[in-house]
Amino acid sequence: MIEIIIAIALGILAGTISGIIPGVHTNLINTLLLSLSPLLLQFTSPLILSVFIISMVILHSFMNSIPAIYLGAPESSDNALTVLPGHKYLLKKKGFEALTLTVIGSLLSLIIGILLTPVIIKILPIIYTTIKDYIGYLLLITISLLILRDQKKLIALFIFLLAGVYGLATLNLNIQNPLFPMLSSLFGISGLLLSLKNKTTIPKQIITYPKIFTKQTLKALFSGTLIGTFTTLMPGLGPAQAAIIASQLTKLKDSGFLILVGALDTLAMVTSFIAIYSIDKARNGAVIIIGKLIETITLQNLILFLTVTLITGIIATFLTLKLAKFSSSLITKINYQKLGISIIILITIMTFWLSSYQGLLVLTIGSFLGLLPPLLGTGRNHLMGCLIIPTILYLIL
Amino acid sequence: MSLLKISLTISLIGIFILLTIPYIFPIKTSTIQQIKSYPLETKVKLISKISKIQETPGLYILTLKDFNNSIQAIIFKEQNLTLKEQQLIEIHGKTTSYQDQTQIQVSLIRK
Repeated sequence: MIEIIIAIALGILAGTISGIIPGVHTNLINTLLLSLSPLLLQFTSPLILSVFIISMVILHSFMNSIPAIYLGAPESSDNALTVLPGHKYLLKKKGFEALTLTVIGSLLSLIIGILLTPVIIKILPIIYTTIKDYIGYLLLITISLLILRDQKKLIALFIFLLAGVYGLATLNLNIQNPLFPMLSSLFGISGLLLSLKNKTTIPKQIITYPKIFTKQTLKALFSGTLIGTFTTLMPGLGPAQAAIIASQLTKLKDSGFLILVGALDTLAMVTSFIAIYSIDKARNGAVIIIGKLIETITLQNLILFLTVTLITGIIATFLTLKLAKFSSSLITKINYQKLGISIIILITIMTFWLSSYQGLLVLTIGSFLGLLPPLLGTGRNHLMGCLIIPTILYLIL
Repeated sequence: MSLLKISLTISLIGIFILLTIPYIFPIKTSTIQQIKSYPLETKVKLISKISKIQETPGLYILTLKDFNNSIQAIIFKEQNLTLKEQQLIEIHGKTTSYQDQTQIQVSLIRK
């Protein structure tokens, strides 16, 4: 028991650090951990190591909204879309409120996911076998609707296709961590460059709390749970693609969208634990490693994992809000122009460290590509073509 | 020249360059010994014989052999595996590590 508590505490510490530093994805830590596992397993068991991993990834899924909202730097596709409405809130003095919305989404989806576990275990194998061959077409229809709903349809299509070709070209390169330079440039650096050009200043932040029990929350949670449960179980689909599908099914305002993205990011973790138990499919880095550490995942293991998830989720809620309050007071004391330049330099250094020279090329091209939607007057969400087109091709071809 | 024109030009030329890089620097077929010396996350291509097929939660694990070396290749359980032991295959994937041993995370198999 004491070993489990220590593993949770260490996971919380690691998840906090990995979550607030832009560019540090849990998969990076998981890979390091896996390399160190022969050494670590001399002192502890595979189960305790798995508890540490779960605690870390759940904390990370709460905490990663802080750099996305306050710095405009997403660490992966999972929360890249948080940057856009989150930054709007920041400019309206409500960065903390934006963060609270993602935390509400994360916590409530986690609770809903755990409560629905017995149902999901039963129906998942049936649904999985029924829709797995059609998910690529479903995604294609959803994207078509997304483009058709844009006022500038042809420009939206052009951006979507251009981003798609950019994504395919990047993922085809022989580089490490291709997603970091790709997403940091499209959704991070491009926004920062525009802020620098327009001499954007971050206004003094006020601590406001959103209303929790609203129609937006219900809509976001309902669509998030429904779509998130199923799409995150499909190969090639993650929270970002699920967010696009869910936001097309239910018209969401920025507040609802932030709840949705928070919900999907955390729910993806819960459903992936259920998936490896129920349909024997590993859907993210953490679960792949747990699958390697533990040869057979039993119902007892699953119950332990979900309990750890819930405990960590509750702690993560308070910890994330505490750090967000601190970030809200800190962000206005810093010169945003200098901060923007510092973040661009940081992302560039991280890119060189993670992906070398070719990563820098991807970063440069993506930064200019990311400027096109605002300059052409269309939505930046079409840039998600960089992930969606490769996914559609993977699923259909 | 406006920012829009600069962005559009750099994006188009840049994407073209990105598309040509794999053709200029294609991934060469490596031996298992070479693959073991590569850093993690390196894309690799290997032609080898399957000596063993194992199954774990979510994964198939192939043990591949060439000359006197062997390496494990991991495949996600998306479809039923139709491979057999002693079959010669070509795999594409990236290097990962498990218990201090290099493995290949497979993205493509050619029989």
